[in-house]
Amino acid sequence: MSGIEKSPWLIHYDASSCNGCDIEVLACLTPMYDAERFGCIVTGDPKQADIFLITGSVNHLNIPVVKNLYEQMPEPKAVVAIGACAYTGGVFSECYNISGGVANVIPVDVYVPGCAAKPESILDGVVRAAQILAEKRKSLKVSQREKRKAMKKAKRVKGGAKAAGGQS
Amino acid sequence: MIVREIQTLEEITVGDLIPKVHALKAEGWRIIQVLAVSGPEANELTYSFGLGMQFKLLRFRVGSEQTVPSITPVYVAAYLYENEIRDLFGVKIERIAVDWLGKVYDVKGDKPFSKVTVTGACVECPPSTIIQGTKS
Amino acid sequence: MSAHEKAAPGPTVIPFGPQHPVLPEPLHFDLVLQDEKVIDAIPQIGYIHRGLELLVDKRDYLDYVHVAERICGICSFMHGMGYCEAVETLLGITVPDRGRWLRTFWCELERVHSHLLWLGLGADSLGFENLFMAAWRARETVVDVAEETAGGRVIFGSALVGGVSKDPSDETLKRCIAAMKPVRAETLRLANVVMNESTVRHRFEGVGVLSKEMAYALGAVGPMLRASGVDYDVRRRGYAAYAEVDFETVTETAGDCMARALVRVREIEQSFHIMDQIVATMPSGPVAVPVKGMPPVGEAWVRLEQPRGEVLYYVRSNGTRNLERFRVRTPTFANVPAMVEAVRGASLADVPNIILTIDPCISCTER
Ligand code: SF4
Repeated sequence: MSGIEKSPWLIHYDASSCNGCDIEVLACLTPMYDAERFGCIVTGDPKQADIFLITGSVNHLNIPVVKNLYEQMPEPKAVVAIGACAYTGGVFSECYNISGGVANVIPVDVYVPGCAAKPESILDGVVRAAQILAEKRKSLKVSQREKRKAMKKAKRVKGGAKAAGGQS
Repeated sequence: MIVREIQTLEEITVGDLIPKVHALKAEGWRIIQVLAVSGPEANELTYSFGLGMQFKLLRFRVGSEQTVPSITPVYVAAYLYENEIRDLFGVKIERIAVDWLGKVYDVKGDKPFSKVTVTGACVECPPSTIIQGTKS
Repeated sequence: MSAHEKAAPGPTVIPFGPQHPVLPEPLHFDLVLQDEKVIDAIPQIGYIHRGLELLVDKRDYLDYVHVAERICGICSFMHGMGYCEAVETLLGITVPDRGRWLRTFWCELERVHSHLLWLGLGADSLGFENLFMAAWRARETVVDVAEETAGGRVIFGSALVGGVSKDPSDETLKRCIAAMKPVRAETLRLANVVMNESTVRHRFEGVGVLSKEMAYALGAVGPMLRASGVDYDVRRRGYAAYAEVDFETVTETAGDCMARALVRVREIEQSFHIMDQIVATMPSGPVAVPVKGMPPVGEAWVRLEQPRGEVLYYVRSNGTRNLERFRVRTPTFANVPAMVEAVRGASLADVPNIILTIDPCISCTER
């Protein structure tokens, strides 16, 4: 099977950003920057998404929403935090209603710098996330294989133990 | 065609609010916003209205235990401002037409804006007429 | 009770948002439905509330411009400039002519970029992908001009207390105006699509009607108010260089989604007209005056016209480097009651495009 890194599906959520980074994310999808040439498709459904693009510093009310979206995404998944806000809270880091960065809420794989982040760097971030996705998928496969092996082994050992128990 | 902006500030009392607002509504003024500033003992509320390029402010102070009547029976559109002020500053506003029961922003912490107290400044400012704007 | 009787009509509440495909920003509505008709809508906001008004007493009053520019990324220059105008009024500073002219130029540039952005999103809410892409492609040129003249694509970063912080040369400005010629032609073409394309007309005409009286009584502002036939535009106050240019206030009378779309599309043309005049009459000289010392004790109110309508800034100082109170009342905040009114009585399928024609900007609403 060819890797999902060739056609990652994106979901975008604005967790209390100033809109600056959001419109740059949208600009990435339009003809000038055109993320679709990397096979990306934007979806509104977290259950179909592979890459989570998140902007903004995540306010108090948004924490459950962000967690919920993240948990609904199937494994493997990658998170791209866009802009200074998503990194540390940016200019808003001293505001009372801010959790100060996406990493405080969900694990982040790629940070895109800038305030506002430029479309070029957002594209870089998406491409990097696709690579991470491929690595994650590989390790997921390996770990699944190992899990299966371990399970088989456990069964065998158990069976053996039973057999041994029968003998005595 | 440039219209000169005229800003006027009028200090009133809580009791005067509703009759004043009724009079403004009858003259065709529209509500622009309601501002709250938290002071050391009292909160200060400023209601702004606009008619063409004219800009009128009504201002009064309320103690933390005092209640303020809602102006939503006259200007329905004020419900957002009033809910916001009640949630963020803890000003007691009564009978708001659309009541969110303290859930406008659902912020972290209780009445965050009430913790910053603004001392002095315009509390002493005389009721003034600020005239601003370029050519007519 | 039979199954049929159980299904007997009663109002249903449907949650709309916060994460919704047509909304670029989180906004939540509880829609109360009777069959397919919306009988009431209860907005719930707060997903973007940061509390940045409180930051004024942590930042120097000259540095707060950076925060003010990030109230909203779409009208960022105007937010920065509104804050600056309020502080300048407090300090009694007059901005030099070239600074005022450049401010007007960037304000109008921002209006064009915002309206094109809206046109794209509005088209997207109808599922008209092609128009979305076309509008955003045209917008790229405008954003490039912003980057070349001001330094930033969306956050311009050129607002400064006392003037502006960048000074593009007259040649650059002339070149930019020439570079935007194709955008003008493209806008006219897109306006034609909006007016005549049957898919757009079908979804926009007669939908979400707001009467003139209602719009005024509910305190609506900007294109929302003008689409219902009220001639109200704060640029008539003559701030920046608006007293020196000639422009027309665009109004429509139908008050439906189509009227709101047309007001914006026609305003783009007016903005280009203003930019032409600005560049043609650009005075020479400094772009800013130096600002030193503490602001005096006092307060100031300033109103501007943003792409979404009238915005109000308030600053109050106690004579120290940190202002005591900053308040911004943004256009979408004023438009929420009117938006709820427009949604009432519409059918469920029309809700996304009605909300989109208000051009909601949640980020600045909640601050
Ligand atoms: S990083 Fe800057 S531009 Fe991006 S959302 Fe935050 S404040 Fe806005």
